[in-house]
Amino acid sequence: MPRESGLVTRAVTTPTPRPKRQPSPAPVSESTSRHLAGRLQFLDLQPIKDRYKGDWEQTSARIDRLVRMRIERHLAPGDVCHRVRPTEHVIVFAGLSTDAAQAKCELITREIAQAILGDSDADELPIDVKLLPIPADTNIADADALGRALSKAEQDEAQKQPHVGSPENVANCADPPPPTFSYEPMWRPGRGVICSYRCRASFESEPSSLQRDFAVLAAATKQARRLMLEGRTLVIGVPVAFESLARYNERREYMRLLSELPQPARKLLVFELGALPEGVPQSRLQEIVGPIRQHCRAVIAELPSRVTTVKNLQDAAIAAVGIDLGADECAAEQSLFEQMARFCGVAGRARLPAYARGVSTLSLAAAAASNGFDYIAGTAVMMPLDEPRRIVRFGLTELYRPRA
Amino acid sequence: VSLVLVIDDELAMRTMIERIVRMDRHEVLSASDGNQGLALCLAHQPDVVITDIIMPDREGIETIREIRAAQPSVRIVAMSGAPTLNGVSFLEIARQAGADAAVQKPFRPAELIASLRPAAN
Repeated sequence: MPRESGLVTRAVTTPTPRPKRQPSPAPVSESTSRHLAGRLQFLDLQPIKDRYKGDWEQTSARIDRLVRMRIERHLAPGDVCHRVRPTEHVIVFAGLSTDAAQAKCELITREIAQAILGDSDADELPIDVKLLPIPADTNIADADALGRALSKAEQDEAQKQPHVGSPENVANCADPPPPTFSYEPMWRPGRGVICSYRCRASFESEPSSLQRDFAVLAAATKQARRLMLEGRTLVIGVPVAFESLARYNERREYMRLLSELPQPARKLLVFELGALPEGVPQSRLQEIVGPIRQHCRAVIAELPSRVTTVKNLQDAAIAAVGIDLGADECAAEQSLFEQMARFCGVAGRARLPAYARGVSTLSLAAAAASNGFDYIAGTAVMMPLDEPRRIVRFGLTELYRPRA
Repeated sequence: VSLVLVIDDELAMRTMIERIVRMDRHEVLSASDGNQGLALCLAHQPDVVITDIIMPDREGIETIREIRAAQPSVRIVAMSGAPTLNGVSFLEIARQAGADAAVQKPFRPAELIASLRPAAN
């Protein structure tokens, strides 16, 4: 149960002004029979009270403004936001898929928590996120009508759920834990350094590629901001599936989140396009790569090792190509040796730098370095870190240093 | 006559080395990767081990370390055609790991034979 507070009282007596981009109350999506509403609810205000001691009336007004600003920054044309209850905001999304809306809500809550408690303590502020479908005929411009529709949607959803009580039902109702992120060091053997780190997300239950990609983007942009503020020049690799950027709405949202990052921080990001469909036309590739390229250091592509040419990627401004040697866990090392040699040849013919991931043994690491891969990553090189820290001197001596 | 173990994943290279070593009147055992090489080494206790560095299934440096730990008196010759990386070569690392001699590929037969001699003779 949320703890009520002075923040609440003030908010009730002073209704939240509507966002500047408030649309007309026309249905968000006329092609669908429902709206998708994201509910953000503060579950516990105590961490805020602990942090901001003193006049709670003033603090609550400040927090209120801050929350509103954070939400408004993420509103696209057609989106609507209301504060339906004192500790609860609802955003009605125009034209976003469920996955994209979920990812966007999570990004907003994270930003709110970071803005209120700072990066390091953001996890202490619990904000619940819930997506609910509401009827398309709801007057979404009216906060009261929206609140009623949400209550009804919640009741409907509760009726669909099995009765709680049994341990398995309690377990089923629990929210999944948030993803954890790690950063895989990318060794540059020719220079003898590690100065790039690839962001990876681990989820308890496998998410859609879109959810994964938005979560990775949020984590990577946070790290890029930190590195920028610390004056570090490390590079963060951000994997993103081709299909996540293939649809216009998702791509636009992804680009918008990226464009909010300050320019110096954007220059620390390298986007790694994965799961490219075979035979994707170059024009389509340029359509996807072009907008991202403007907002980052480079765009690279991970490919299946069987590719025979990467000329179309070079023409689409892809800056490097790579393979994941860990993709086939059953492959014999001899066959991975052959794949590496072949792939290096393909990349070399297009004069593109090559990278290899999933390098799990010293044999593979040595062979990759010997073959001429420009970047090598995997547990044989260095275990992933919880965040990118600094440039590390790393040569053959370090590769072969006995490890515990 | 000494017993020489040749470890190399490339069949053509392995065959050529076997021929050179036999011409110098030694007996030869051969293995196509580090794991096989280590097993043969422990089973037959050769006088000399010639090993490549870049190999699948336990590469050369790991193999040299293991052999040196198991048989401190064996003579180990490392060979590699891999490039120098950032001023350090695989052969330097091999020496640090316990190799007595290092031969850069491609090599002349006399070079390889010379690298065997201190222990083989």
